Amino acid sequence: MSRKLRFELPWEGEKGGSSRVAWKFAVHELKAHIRIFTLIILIMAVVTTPFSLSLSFNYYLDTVVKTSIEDSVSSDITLAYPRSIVIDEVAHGSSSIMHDAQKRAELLREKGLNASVRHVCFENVALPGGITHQAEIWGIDTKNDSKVCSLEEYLIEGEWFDPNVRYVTERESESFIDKLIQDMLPESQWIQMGVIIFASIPHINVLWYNITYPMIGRVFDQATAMLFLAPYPLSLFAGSVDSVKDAMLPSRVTHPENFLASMLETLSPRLANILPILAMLEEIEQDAERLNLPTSVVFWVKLEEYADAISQDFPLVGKVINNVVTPIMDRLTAAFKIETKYPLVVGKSFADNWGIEVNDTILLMPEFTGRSGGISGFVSAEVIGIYDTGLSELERWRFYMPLESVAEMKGYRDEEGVEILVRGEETEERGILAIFGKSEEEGLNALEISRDIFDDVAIFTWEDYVEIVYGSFVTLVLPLTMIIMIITLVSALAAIASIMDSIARRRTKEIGYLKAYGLRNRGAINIVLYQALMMGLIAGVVGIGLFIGGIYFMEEYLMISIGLNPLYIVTVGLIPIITSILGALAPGIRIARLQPVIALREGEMQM
Amino acid sequence: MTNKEIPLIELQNVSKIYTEYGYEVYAVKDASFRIYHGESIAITGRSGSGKSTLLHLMSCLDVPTKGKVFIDGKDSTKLSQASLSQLRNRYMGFVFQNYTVLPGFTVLENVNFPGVIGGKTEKQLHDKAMGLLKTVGLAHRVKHLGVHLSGGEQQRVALARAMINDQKVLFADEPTGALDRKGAELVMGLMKKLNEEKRITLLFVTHELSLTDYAKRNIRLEDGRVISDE
Repeated sequence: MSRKLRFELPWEGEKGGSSRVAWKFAVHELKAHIRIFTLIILIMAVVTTPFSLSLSFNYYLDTVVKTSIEDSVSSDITLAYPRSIVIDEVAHGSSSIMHDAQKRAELLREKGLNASVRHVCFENVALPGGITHQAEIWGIDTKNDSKVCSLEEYLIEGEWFDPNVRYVTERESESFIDKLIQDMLPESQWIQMGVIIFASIPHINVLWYNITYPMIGRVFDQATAMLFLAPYPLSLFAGSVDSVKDAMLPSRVTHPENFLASMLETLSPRLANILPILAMLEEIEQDAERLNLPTSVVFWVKLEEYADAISQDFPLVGKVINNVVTPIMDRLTAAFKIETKYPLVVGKSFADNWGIEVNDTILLMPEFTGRSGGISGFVSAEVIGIYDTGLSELERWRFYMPLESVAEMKGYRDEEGVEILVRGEETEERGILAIFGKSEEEGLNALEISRDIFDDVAIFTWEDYVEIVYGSFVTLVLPLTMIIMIITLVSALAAIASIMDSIARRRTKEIGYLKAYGLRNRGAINIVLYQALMMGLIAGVVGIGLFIGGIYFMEEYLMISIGLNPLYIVTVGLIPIITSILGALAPGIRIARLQPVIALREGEMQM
Repeated sequence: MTNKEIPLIELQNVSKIYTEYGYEVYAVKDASFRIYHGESIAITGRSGSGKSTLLHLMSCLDVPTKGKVFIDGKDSTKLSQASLSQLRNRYMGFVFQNYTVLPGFTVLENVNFPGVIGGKTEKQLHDKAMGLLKTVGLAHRVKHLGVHLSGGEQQRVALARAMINDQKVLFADEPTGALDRKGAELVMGLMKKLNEEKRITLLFVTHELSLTDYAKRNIRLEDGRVISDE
């Protein structure tokens, strides 16, 4: 009925200006209560900013962890022996070698899955300036590991591995023991047998080294100790020398002007002849420190260079060096010399950081596995390609090598895999047993198929690893943060509602006047809502400023590259607006619904 | 324009009932009368007799419990809130006893409010508002805030405001209640002048019988009932 009457009544027709009055009144109210509104604005901004920063940081962590883990595992599922355990929220295996890994991968391939074995190992890389860089080297099956091989698309320099080439060295078929017997030992069968028994039990070998080195090594220096103690340190030493020679800078003997030198020169010209030797030792120490190498290795590398100088003053020592030590060293280094350099693909951020280019040779220092046939000492690797996926942190420490190269380097056999999956506490061996991607064409369910085939292995999805690594964060920190923030926002909302209601009540009589003069209900509610909107907008702008400042602070001073996510900028801007409008809604509706006469009466009571 | 045959305001058996402690109390009981364009009417009675309630019902600030209020022949009880708002904005001006102006706004802004609510801009209203303020003798206080005005000045601002939309009727509820005698005479004189010169219908509530001289018609109330209409 009222709709019908609208166009008939003489007082109707023109568009009203309630909203303009509401806006004017709202602005006036803000000015009149500038202090309390400023306080509310600051509270909202200060509450919202950590909320958004926290969300951003959570999102950042979530992305980094998930991306890292997904990328690390890069498979739909991973197989591990059941005895693989979870310690310190990180999955790793206590016994890492799965001897039938290739067989299992083949079974999975027969079922239509893209299965492949992968070795992952954590090694040290010797870099110029005496820096040791820890790297995660993935040994990948270049024929079957299609997921990782898709990284070829991200190569920015050089080339990817040729799947038709087996990247192994001349040492491929020769075990450590074979080399030892062939090149070093006397022909006595008893001696050979003794060494074979001793060296073929890696754990005894390591145990022997660990017991004897602290006792003898501290007294006689590592170089002396390793000559007498065990095959492992011996091989480590010998295998390193040849590689290290390439990395050494030309040595110069200098005469340090120290107290001892001055004293020796003063006391006796004969004793003064020891000075070059002292200088040499000092230089060896400096080079060892600079290159982050054992002193003994540098010592042996430089031995020939110094032999002549030493011979002049100590002829007997010179003879020993030239006629005994050097031939032994030559035989040793020849025995362990690696003719072929392993191919390596490195990340852009690593290459940029260290000035590495394609065709450069870098030294790897593989951790000792104790497995016969594995390479001890330093290993030369040639950078054949540089990739860039944009994950700079990941690229800084992840290198790729062919599976057979890593297997040879670490002494793994062809059928073996290493089962450890996610970075965890230090262990001697780490790697991934069996990695396979779901066949996209056939839509095969890798998890179900694997469960059907294997009942003796633990099967993890990469989400499992996210849960393992990220579990406490996802299940505790994130919900807790959200609950705290929701409580805070609800409290802020209640506070805003209360304050807005209080202000609205103080202005009830004035709003009653305006209603008497025709201010519509919508105009009345707008008075409160416009105030809330202005508050929210200002708080939003302040919040965005604080948010950007917070992000800048974290990036600049805490080195956390969260980045400015537009979603969170919008969030930090919108939350105060939404909160203040929601808070203002109830008092606004109350004011709007008041009959003018009631508003005037209530106003009288408020006065 | 208003048809002279049709009353500007007509009350038909209007009652306003409040419930207190479970009992019904009649603030206004069965009031029926007509008010024509250009009349000046004083509504008198003792305190609590229902004068103000009757004024609120006539000015559509309140709705009757029973009966009907016709404005320009239209039943106001059937109008929407929006239509009632427009009706008050275009037809009615108000002067209340206390604090009639919005204290945080200037005199000019106070006068302009009904016009702005009606859809006009302050620029459009400026000349008219200045003329009205001159009429009520406040042209020199245009930029002063309402809070700085005296009681008499506030009532004069309310008078100017009551005419900014060429309202047809002025409702005044004890307009001199808070004023001294001189101020009361000034305000009442102005209202009478507006009624006589601008033909604005004047309805004011007062408990002071001496003020009935400013009106040509006097409606007396007692316990909510109209006991005389002369």
